[in-house]
Amino acid sequence: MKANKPVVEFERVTVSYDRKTPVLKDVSLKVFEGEMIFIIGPNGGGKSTLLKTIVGSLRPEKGRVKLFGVDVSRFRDWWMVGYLPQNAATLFEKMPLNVSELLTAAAIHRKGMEPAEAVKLVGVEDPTSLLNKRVTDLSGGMLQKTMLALALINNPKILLLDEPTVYVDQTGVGAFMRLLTKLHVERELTIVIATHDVTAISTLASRVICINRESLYDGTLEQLITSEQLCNIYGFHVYTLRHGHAWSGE
Amino acid sequence: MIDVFQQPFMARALAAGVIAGFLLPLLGNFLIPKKLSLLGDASSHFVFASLAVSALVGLRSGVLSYLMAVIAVFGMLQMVKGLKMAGDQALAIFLALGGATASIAISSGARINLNAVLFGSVFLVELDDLLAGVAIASLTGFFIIKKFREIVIFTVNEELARVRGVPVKLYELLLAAVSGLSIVAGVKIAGILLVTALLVLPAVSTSLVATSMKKAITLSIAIGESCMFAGIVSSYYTGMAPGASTVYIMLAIFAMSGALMKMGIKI
Repeated sequence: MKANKPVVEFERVTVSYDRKTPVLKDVSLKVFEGEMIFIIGPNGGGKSTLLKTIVGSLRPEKGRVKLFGVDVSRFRDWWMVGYLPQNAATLFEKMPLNVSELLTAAAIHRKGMEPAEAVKLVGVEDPTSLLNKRVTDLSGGMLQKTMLALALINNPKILLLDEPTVYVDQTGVGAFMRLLTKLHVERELTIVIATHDVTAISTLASRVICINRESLYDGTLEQLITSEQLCNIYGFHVYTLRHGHAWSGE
Repeated sequence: MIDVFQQPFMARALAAGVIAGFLLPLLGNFLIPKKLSLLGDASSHFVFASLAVSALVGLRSGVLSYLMAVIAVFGMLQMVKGLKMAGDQALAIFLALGGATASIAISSGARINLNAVLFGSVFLVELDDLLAGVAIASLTGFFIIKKFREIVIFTVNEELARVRGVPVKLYELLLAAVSGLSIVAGVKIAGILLVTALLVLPAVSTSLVATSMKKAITLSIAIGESCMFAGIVSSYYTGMAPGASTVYIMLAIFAMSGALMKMGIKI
């Protein structure tokens, strides 16, 4: 597994929405090529803000953000970034858009995939049937696959996924994580997943970063589950089971 | 029936109907998903104010109306985006401002035909309106065809659009400008109070049954054109305001779309 060039660099980044209360404070981190990183933390802890800052939707008050070595404000090769915002399902409430139109609209790069190829890649057996469906008519599982296909359509180098498991039940979470792991391994894709659900963390994670306004932990999953950090972040004890998945309790 | 088309004012009214029936339903397909359909009301009330002020000071209302409509839409977008206000709150402010300004101008002696301005009239349309309308419709149609994919992703989500390299700020400005200008293009024939219906009703009706965005856009323009035509022609024979008859026909189509959706029929 390659782990050399930094793909994302945060240098002492502070972000706030009102210029008074920072949502991220003095955060420094690096994501290296080929890593699979989970960003965890409580709701409102700044996970989504971190991803929005990486893609340039939010400008830091202090500090620097670089994507593929370029300051994010000057970054232009957006095909290299596959991004899935939080609550993506709610974006389509009133749109009669079908899956084919959505994926075609998102495809901006000549090296990108055809919509059928993208949905096949995420494990859809009958692409034609899915492509002709309205996005608002999809089940949670199909919507999740469609959104992942949307993020993958331009053959990106990095995937940034914000709470991607909210559409599905626990069985669906497992299947989705297996799919992501396959993409990570087979395509050497750098993946950053922000989630409040600690049970979604794959044992193949390169690193886990814990955020609650500040960066509280940046290290391996093994070290995290044997430390007191989870208790510090969530405010209650998180017990871990032997297969590596976790469950929480007061 | 033929005599309808031989009257110059009716020919102008029908041409204005063709422009409004194309532009407003087309834009509605993008404004409704962005929860911005109320922009129509904000700008139409500003147009009302500009018509009254122009009448008071003896100016031709054309350029001022276009300018005021764009200012209203842009101002409302700034309130929604910059000040994080809800759309209905921003709308209330612009409705009040437009209404109050028009009221002051009328109280001060502005002479306008309120019935025609509020509900539309076949007599109000002038050649200048048509030329401006054709220019706006051509540019808007061309831009949407040329940049359809970018506009779709911008409509879905601005963050997704930004990550696709779409110049989001520019698109916001264009959306504000085109919406304001289109409202003015439709306001004389449909009326201040009813022009928003042209923006909303065809797009909402087709969104209930269409299986794709392209079908929804095509159908909503077809609905807009046919309803405008029927409304304007019926107004010639019945004396009703064209805006009112058009809205009633559109409401009937909306009811039919709702029934088709309930029956599970998609187009």
